[in-house]
Amino acid sequence: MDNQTISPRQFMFLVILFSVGSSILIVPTPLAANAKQDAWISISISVAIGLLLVVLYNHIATLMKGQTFVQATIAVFGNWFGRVLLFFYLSFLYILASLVLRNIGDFMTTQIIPETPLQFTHILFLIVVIWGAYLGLEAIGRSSEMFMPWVVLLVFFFTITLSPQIKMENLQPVLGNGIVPVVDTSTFVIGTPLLEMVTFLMIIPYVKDGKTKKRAWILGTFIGGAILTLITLLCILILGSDLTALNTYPSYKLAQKINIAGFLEGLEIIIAIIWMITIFFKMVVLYYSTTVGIAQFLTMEDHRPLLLPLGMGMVVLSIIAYPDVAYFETFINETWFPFAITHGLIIPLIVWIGLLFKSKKQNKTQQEPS
Amino acid sequence: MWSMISIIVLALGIFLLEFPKLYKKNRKKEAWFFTIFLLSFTIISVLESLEVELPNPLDLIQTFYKMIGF
Repeated sequence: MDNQTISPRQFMFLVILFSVGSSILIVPTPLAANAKQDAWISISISVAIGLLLVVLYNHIATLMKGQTFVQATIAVFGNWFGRVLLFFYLSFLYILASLVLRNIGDFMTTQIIPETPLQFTHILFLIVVIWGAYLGLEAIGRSSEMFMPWVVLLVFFFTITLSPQIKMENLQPVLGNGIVPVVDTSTFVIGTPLLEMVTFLMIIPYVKDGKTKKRAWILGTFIGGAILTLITLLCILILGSDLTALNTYPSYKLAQKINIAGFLEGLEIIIAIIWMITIFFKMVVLYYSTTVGIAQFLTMEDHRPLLLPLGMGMVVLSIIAYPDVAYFETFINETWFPFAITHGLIIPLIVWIGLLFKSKKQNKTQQEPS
Repeated sequence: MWSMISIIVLALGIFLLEFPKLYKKNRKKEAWFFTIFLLSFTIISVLESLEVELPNPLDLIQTFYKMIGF
């Protein structure tokens, strides 16, 4: 809001961390349940489709000409219809942020600190996120540069220490059940995290340098998708598709299997650091864009006064969102994809068409000076 | 009971932290929006702490997409 900018490289790191965060915990289970040993093929298909999606978002970002998604939509569709669209867009971001908060809360309470009530995990985590959003985009971008080496290092560590346990026969038979379940399941990863990338339409106007930022977004999506594919592949190679489908957090289960030369074990908490860092960045990007979006929606000058009140609401929403695990599974498997496609594809498409008409009109008036 | 009191104390703390800044800069609109958000979310939090069944927005989303056939 206050003329803070980030560099294309920082933006790329944010995209990587955003696409890995929280998906790394929840993606392998449903993929392995439906596509069995071919889960890695279906995730590769989704990443390819996701790259096309990012090309569309990039084109929208060029047409927005330095305005955020909220400002551009109001400029194109006017105060009323634009605000109706934006109400849905912002509520999508807000709900998404609270669900991501619930993911980390559930993970912490079931795996690491079972005696701490859910609310307190959420409140503690959200305080850090609010602090990050208060400091603004520049601080977020710089800290992403600080933490990126750690994430890369830990992913390498994870892969290398687990590689002796790989069993190639877990991947066979390739496409044993035909191509249909593989393509069917690819919708899952398109829904989370690829369609969620629509959030970055709020961030991209604050990125310096016009040309490289497009490449940064595409490259970031590609690297993030590659990390997700790698983790899913490791889960299937080591645990097998059945065990992956049974575990709630297969990648954490995987980390518990790390065993260096028979004497170094129990390193899973070090691996959990990746989850926390990436989810923190996903939360902070979502929370920042939501509050900035709401502030611009209400034509406020500063988003900071809204941070704390919205946080209170988010804690409540994240607790009432999933009454139990079964609800979570049906919501994620059945409702999330249509919900994400409405807000991640259809609304941006409507705005894109509006922007195209507007820029054509402007070109005409420039050509015929009156 | 204690959770209700702590939520109200927290909300008062947030109010005292942010409101004077907005008041001094004479930003009336911002101050109004801030107060409305804070008040409504405090009421929701208090209701949640009293274990009142709050409507879940995800139920609404789910029924909507079931209705149009997903």
